[in-house]
Amino acid sequence: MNALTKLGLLAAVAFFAHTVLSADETDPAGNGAARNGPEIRSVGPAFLPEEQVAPANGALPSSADAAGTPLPAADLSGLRYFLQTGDAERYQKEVERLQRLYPGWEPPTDLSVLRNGGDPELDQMWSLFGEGQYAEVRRRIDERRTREPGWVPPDDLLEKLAAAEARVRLVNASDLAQYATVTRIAAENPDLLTCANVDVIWRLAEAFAQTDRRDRAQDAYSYILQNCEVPSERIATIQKAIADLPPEVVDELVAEEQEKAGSTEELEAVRADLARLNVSRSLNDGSKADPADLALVEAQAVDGGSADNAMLLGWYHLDQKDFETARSWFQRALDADGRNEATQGLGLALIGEDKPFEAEQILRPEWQGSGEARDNYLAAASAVLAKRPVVEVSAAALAQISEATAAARDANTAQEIGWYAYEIGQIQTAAQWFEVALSWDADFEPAAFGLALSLNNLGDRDRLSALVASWAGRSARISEVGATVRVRTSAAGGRQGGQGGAPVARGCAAPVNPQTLSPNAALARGWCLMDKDRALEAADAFAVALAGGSERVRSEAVYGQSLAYLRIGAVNRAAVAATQASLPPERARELQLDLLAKRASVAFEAGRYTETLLILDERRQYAPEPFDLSELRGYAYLEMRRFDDALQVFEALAAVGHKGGERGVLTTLETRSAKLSVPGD
Amino acid sequence: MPQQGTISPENWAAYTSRFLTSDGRVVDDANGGISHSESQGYGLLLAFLADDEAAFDQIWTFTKTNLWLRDDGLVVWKWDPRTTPRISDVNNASDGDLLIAYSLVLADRAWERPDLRAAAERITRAMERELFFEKDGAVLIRPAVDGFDGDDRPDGPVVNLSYWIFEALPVLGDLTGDGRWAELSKSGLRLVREARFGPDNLPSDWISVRAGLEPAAGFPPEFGYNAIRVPLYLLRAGHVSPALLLPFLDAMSAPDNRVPILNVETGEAKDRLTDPGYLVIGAALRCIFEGVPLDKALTTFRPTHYYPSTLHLLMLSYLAENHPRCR
Repeated sequence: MNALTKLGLLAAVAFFAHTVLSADETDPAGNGAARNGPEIRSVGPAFLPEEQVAPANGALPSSADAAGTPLPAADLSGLRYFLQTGDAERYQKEVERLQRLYPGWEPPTDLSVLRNGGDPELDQMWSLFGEGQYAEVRRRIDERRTREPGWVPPDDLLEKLAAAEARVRLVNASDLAQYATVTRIAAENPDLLTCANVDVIWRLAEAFAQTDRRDRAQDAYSYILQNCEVPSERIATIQKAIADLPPEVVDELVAEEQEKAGSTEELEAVRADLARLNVSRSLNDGSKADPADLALVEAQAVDGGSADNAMLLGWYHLDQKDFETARSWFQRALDADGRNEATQGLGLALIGEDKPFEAEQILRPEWQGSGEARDNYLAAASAVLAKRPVVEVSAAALAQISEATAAARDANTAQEIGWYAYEIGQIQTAAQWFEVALSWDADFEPAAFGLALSLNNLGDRDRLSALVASWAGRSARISEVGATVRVRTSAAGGRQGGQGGAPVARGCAAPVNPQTLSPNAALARGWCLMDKDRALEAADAFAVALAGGSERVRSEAVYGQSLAYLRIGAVNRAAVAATQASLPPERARELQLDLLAKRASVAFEAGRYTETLLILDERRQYAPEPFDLSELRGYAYLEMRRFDDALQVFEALAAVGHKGGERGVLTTLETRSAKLSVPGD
Repeated sequence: MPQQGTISPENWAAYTSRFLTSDGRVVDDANGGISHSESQGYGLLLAFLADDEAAFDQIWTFTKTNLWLRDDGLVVWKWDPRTTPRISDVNNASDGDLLIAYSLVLADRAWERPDLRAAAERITRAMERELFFEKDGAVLIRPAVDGFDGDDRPDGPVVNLSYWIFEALPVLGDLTGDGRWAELSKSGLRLVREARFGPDNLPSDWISVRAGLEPAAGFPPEFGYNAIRVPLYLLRAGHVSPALLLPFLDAMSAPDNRVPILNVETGEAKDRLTDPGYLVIGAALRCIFEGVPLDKALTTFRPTHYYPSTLHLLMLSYLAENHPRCR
């Protein structure tokens, strides 16, 4: 392709505007042989807005009329300007332009004609125009017209001024997303839509795409690919099309691009974009990506530069449930530019890998960044809380989880907090969270079930009955909890109801400075205050226990304190950090088992035998049942008149030589025979 | 139709050298150097009155390329040189639209500029479509497309009486043939007669028309910088009736020679303005109704800040054309 035909493809109308306005000087514009006079408008690209109207700048005469007529002296002003600025290239283009307009015209051989004489005032106007001072040019034109009634500004200047103003206006409207204005200005100024102003065509295409005229957007992009030569602009066109248009349309444009591509480098550049596009598509529809595309994107991701490629790979592998690979890509993106989005991906990958604690830690600092970040954080938090056996959650984490849950009104996480509290024996707190969950989602059965268990545990029969009634026919297991209430009330003359889970419950009504207490006394006081729903004071008491107690006391104090904070909701984070003690996982497990054992005993003491069995069952999931707890189990059966079950337990104990076993067998047999011998009992 | 040449070349040069930039921006220097559709509209009107087509084109070029951008054909209200992007809110301001459209029509008539007339027509049609609304049978104009209606705010609809640029209304009505412009003039005059609050019988800047008329709850209940223009607009439009203007005369030509910013509910003055651009309004009323000639300090124009200086030139132009004895 020789230079002339190549140039002939270019739309040259606005070459001056381009060479003056655009920073990009690589475009050899301005020599289209086909460009002459009125055709300029008639070849208006097919994507022109349908509301195309007559040019508003109708006051500006077309230069076409001047063809063949003597050249007005004023038209040399452009030449003069380029001569003065020493811009030989533009000078030559201006000569060629004038020759097209005025066939047969020759530039002056004596340059002094241009240097001297001439029209310095007009030169000044061109100069201002070159600087983009259009308002000032307008003012000077008017002033001179008033001052010199015979003076007529050159058509060329007026046309270029109108085009430049229209261009600025279109760009400003586009920046403000005023797309109707963009398409209107383009329709009124078709001369703007040339390869010299690819940016204008892009903006018009965007306006079409944003106003549901995708076919016209496609036409606009296609026009660039068919007609414009600058490789970087062609590549950018494909990239913009990828952003604006549906995949099948992009495919058509890519076909055009490949057909017309000027060089293999250009194809390669687009090839990488296409690989990205294909992987994004797989991400969108959940399909497997082409390994060749993946390899290309991976190569680019490893090459460095933007972290976008690593992010794309992260999301893709996350979607494919290959969490480990996803994590490595997110980690790379995070290392590359530390963006929040990578943190989110990393957290999600960790959740996928069943590492909720790491996920929670990574996501915690950013959960307030966006709604999505909050949802991700809550997903991690729910997974943490749902871990069984329960693993200690730090008070700082609990505070953030509570806050995020409240902010999102997320019934599921609220319910998980409820179960967490329930598991560690903080039944009142559990009940509160279950209620919160139900207030956000009244039909959320797991929360209602948790509330039923909690109310049962607290001995709050009135509320339990109401709850069971409201779920009648909707949840069998809630009905069952209701049934155990009747069993229990008929079973034994149990002591007072309520007060579950407090290992030591001495009085704590009187105000005491916890600093004056021994660690053990402080711990006891902490639990007591928790039972009285005085969580703030309890936190202080636990803090004292935490500061000075034995390891055992300290461990329990950590629980107590985090529960206190949980109940308080909002937490002074500095205080939390100061009092936080970390527990080794094995210790946490032991403590958990220990707490379950305590709760079972307390439940039994309180006459809540069904619950005793539930707690013992739960404990048995994590560790074998020691003899003393099996004995407790046997007595729970006995109290419930489940004599066969009781006998089975006690006999097993007796068989391994546990003395309590034999005693249990005897007691069971006695109780059963006593019952049988008392008719009408 | 006001006359060209009623602002002297000297006064106009003093104004433009202070407030007009070479790129055609009329600068509100008391407001962080921003420009807005109102300042551009005032600039266009003053350029017409000064018979300066060159400045008119200069101002219009900026207005057109940087503010006349909205999809609906109205003008974006604010342009701030200190922020990026320059425009952060694409809302319009109806007085700016009015001033611009009106000035474009005047310019076409003076200098035979169909391009300006076409622009005026587009803006005017957009105003009819986007800004007119009816309340209790009266045609009113909302202060902006967004933010002032009944469902936008508890005190809505809210109007601003100083957005009734009375001289513009019949001109725009002629331009498009829409009879509602005459209705709008009527409703504006009715507001002048009926929106009289507090001990001084003055309108507040912002008036709620939700149920009857009252100072809009969402704004200070003030006869302030907005409403002090109302008598100027009435005079310029030829509504020189004591029944309309007496409360303004009373409030704005006080013997202490200051213009009060008044709380219309309590009658208390929050501030007293001494800029000649404000004082000239009350002084003109006194001259017209009481025959007291204007002080020399007010007939001489010296630019202070953009807003009072603009009002000053508009009043001097009006007096030059209609009450030469007052000058």
